[in-house]
Amino acid sequence: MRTDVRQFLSAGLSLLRGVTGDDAYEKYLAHYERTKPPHPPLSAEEFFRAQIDQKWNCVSGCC
Amino acid sequence: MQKILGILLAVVGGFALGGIALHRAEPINALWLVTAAICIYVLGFRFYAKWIETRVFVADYTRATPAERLNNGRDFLPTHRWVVFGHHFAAIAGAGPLVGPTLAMQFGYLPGTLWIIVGAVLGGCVQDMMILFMSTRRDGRSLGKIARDELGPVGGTAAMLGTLMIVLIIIAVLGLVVVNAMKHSPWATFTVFATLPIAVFVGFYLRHWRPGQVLEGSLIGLVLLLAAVVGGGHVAENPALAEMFNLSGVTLAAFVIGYGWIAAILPVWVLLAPRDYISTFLKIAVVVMLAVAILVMRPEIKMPALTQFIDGTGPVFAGKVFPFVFITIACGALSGFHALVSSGTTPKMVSNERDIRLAGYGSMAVESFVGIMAVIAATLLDPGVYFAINTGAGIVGSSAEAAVQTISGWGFPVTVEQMKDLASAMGESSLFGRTGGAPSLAVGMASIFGSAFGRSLLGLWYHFAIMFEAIFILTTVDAGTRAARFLIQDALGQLYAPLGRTSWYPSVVVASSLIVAGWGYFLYVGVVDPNGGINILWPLFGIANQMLAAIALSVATGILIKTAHVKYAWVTGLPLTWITIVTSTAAFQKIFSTDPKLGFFAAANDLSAKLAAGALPPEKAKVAGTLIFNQQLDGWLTILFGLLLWTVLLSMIRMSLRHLKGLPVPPNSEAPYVKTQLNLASLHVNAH
Repeated sequence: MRTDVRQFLSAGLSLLRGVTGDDAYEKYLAHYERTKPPHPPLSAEEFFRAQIDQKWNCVSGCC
Repeated sequence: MQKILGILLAVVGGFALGGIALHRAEPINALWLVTAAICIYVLGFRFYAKWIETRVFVADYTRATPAERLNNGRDFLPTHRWVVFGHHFAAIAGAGPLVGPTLAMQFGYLPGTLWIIVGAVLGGCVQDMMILFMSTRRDGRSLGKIARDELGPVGGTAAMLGTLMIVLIIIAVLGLVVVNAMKHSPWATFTVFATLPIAVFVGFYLRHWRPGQVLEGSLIGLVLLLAAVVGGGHVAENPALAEMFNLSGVTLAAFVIGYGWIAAILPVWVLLAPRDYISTFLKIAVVVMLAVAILVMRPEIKMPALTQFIDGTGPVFAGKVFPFVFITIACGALSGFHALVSSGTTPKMVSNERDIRLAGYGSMAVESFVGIMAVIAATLLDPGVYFAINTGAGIVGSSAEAAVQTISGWGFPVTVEQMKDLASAMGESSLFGRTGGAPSLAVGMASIFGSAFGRSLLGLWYHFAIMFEAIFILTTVDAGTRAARFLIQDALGQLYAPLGRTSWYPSVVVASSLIVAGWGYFLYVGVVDPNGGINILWPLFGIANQMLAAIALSVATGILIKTAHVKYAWVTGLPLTWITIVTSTAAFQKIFSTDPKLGFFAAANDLSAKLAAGALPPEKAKVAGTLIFNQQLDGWLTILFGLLLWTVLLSMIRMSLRHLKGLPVPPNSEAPYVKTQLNLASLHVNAH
């Protein structure tokens, strides 16, 4: 029962982190590790800056 | 098992919907609406959407999506389907589904409720899912780009122009909603103003102190916002401070315009992005809270099923129930704007085509449910109170006595004392003539939250609801201004290349100023209009939004016909036909009606005649010139919207006929098939 509740809560949290974009940098690093491109990875700050600029360079919200 | 569930849902949903439709006389409980809505959404999702997925667009779970093929670890990124769902819902939900249904309640609860449910299940959800699917098959390209590729340059340009116009109108009308909510209300004004420094603080927090810790930053922002709501109450109690925040409509409009201009040229991380993070959080929390509170409280609906205003004499906005209930509700049932989001960030996140149903259809069903909750919040008020809040002084008279007399004369009794008590419970000086839908929604929400979670805090709940709406609206103001700026810069770049560079500062300033001047004009006129402005601007917005929906559905229908699914073209063809009839009828009436309440040109002529005859009171004569010009401009805009709609529709029909005759048409622009390498089991996709 206890583990069920814990699992449910942690699933909820990871969902919330995904929706809000809280885990975006972790995902980026994971992607970086998988693909191993020649350039060094962005720092958290650089990544976040680029992420925001990109998101708001198009229609991304509604009425 | 599936079948039994389906039959059960159909029986319960049908029974509840029938109950609502046939229910007369005594008040009906809001649970009927909730039950009918949920059963029908689930039916639509499980059966209709599933059928569309397997038969009409034929989702292929072995096909790699753009998120996989173009994975860059940032915007193109395979994402869990519930995260895609949450993201898409947060992007489409805003103040639209709250305001539209509230205004439409002047016809009674029945027409609006039926359209919110049926329109979503057969129209809005289908549109959002179809465009999401089509964009996913086309590398996540935008609606305008898809329209150009599939229908040709004429359709593409019309879609782009339509997008620009709708953005200007939506910003103006939502700006007006927030101005009307803050007008002469120190508490609301303080709270809304306080959201700005809070957002900037969170912006710095996320950029410099704790880069990218979005959840943490949003929670801090949320706590500060709640503190601002409480603080506003103290400001309102202090006479000196209250006077500082007691501002007129014109002053507040000037603030919103100045704010919009500054926000548009500031980098996004300062204000726009942090506020959007906080609002995503707030949005999800409030929707869940409201649903729980409605289930706990089970309010009675006091508005009749139908009012006499279905004949077009309504005080909130002019026009008969057909076509204007469909125009007014907009985002709650079918919204063209959603097609822009469905062809924006969402298609770049979908990890498998089988997830499209949940994100596209499912999110819109939840949005529609938000519309139902707005209906409940508006109709649990005494109808007299609803009309007293939502009718402008130009219609019922500027004194409280005159207003209650007129409204009671319509058969909706209300007294001055009742309104006074309500206003003081909400911490406001007056609630008469607070048009725009936000205040009456906030009163309704405060009543729901108040009886579910404690009645003594009505004033806090009311201003919490106002802050909640304002935060969406201000996000729309900046995000819309930015989106329109990119469209303008794109166009200006054709004239002089450096102006097309989106980050060249002179170009940013020129383009932003043009956009802000555009919506600022409509906002200003709306504020000085003695009838409240909303009754002109909201129908104009509704027509623009439904026109954009018709454009999106035309593109979808054209693609269905072209990709050899002619026999299924009715899936989008049906809502397309309906919305074309609705939008064209509404546009026709707005242009040609000789009733000055309804027709734009008739209103302009009527006002000119009265001005020439000297029949206007001096304060109205002063703004008459502006109002006359504005009515004419609105008339011409409506003509433009009608032309845009028919241009896209005819270019789709022409393309389809050529295709059916075997003549050359622009080729299907789908990206070629690539087999997915992702582990299907890990993505929760049932391979059946």
